[in-house]
Amino acid sequence: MVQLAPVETYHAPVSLTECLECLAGGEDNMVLLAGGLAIMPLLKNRSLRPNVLVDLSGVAELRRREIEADGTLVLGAMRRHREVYDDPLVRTRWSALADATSAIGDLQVQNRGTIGGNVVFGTVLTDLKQVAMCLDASLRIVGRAGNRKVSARDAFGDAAHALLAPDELLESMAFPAPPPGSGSAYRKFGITTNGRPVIGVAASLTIGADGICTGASIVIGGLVPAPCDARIAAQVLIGQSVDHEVIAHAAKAAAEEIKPQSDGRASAAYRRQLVRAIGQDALNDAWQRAIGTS
Amino acid sequence: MEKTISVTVNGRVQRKTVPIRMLLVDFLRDELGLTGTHVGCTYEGRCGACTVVLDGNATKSCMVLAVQADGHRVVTVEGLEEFANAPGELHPIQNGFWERHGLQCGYCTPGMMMTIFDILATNVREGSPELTDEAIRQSLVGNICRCTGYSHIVEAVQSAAAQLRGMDPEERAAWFDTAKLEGTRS
Repeated sequence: MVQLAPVETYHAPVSLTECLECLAGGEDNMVLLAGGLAIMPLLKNRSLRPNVLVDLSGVAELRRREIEADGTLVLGAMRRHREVYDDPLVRTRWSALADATSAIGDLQVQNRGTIGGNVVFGTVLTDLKQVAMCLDASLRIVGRAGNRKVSARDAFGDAAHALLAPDELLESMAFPAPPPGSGSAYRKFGITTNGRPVIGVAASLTIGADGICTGASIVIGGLVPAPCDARIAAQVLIGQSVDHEVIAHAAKAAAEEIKPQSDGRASAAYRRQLVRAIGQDALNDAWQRAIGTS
Repeated sequence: MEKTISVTVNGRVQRKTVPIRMLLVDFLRDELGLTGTHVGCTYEGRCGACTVVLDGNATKSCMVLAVQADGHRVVTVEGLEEFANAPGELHPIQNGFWERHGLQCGYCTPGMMMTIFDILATNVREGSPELTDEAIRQSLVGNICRCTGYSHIVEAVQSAAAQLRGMDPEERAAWFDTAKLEGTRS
């Protein structure tokens, strides 16, 4: 049997106010559980030995899904991956988000894992950071000192930037309405099916009625210390009449633009090759979606 | 250190005082004696043998604490037969495994069945017990069969889906209606 170290207290708050009270309680040996899938192994191997566990899954405000007047999609941090990709509107308008959430772990993980947990948990090798950056999402953070909003590009693009202060909580992520003629996609490669990304490419394209690309974003994850916003590669597409050749050229530019690490999972050269291959696939999907053929 | 919880397992309300650190899988096996839920890996969430249905969703019970299930509904493999109308009658999922020989050593089978319960329930809710082999395989990524008998497992799911297609919608839905369990057993 594998047991966690003994835990003194368990809280299951049902409101955001109650959550913040827990956080403000001054307990420095407290662990918050979102989906728990990344934390539970650390509790089991006793890398973490908290006195207090706080389970956020009963907080309705953190599970919300709203479309604001300007078309912005707001997803509570405790929204589970499967709830995100099962959402027909997410699939059609924020396709990269649906692609990514349906490729995080297995069905059981998608049933339990949350979008907030995926981005807050302190590893760089997640899927949703690059997707949030690519789709220009912003993060809504609540704390005792008040609420604040930070763009995903600022928060995740710079590894030196701590996302949360100790008494703060990620409340939701807001994805702006994509401009007309837009499409997005996410493709990844993991060591096992749906494993953590060795490379993950999020792409978004806006195509005018004349077939000319007016907006492009390519963000690559699986890199240390932070995802790379490949702006040079995006510029390869902008102003061009998009076809397979232009896309291949952009994917090649992205592979040159990143500064990949070599580690036990892949060499730097292989990571570049992955960006060329799956970057092309992600851009193709985004393009097809933008012009409405898929 | 301890907390009193109340969890509805296979339609029965189970009220117990358990250590906060107790995993749901240990609660089911050691506290309730429901040893159909298996532990295949060393509690790392890798094998899927401990999969149960928690509020309708396939969940690895080694990745959840028992206290987190307080106030929620759990269905384990033992619960499948409770959906039947007559004693000895098998759930279409069990029948599918029987018909298509969907198991060899059987260790992974309870977890497989509970993941399949989730996907077929979703499918039935959406009105179409039609699944491609590829969709079944994709759904079972988190359940490892070390006998590698995957082909027969996919056939077993197809067999279960075919049985469900042959039923009228009401009968079909009844095989996944966890509220019905509570009605008959409270």
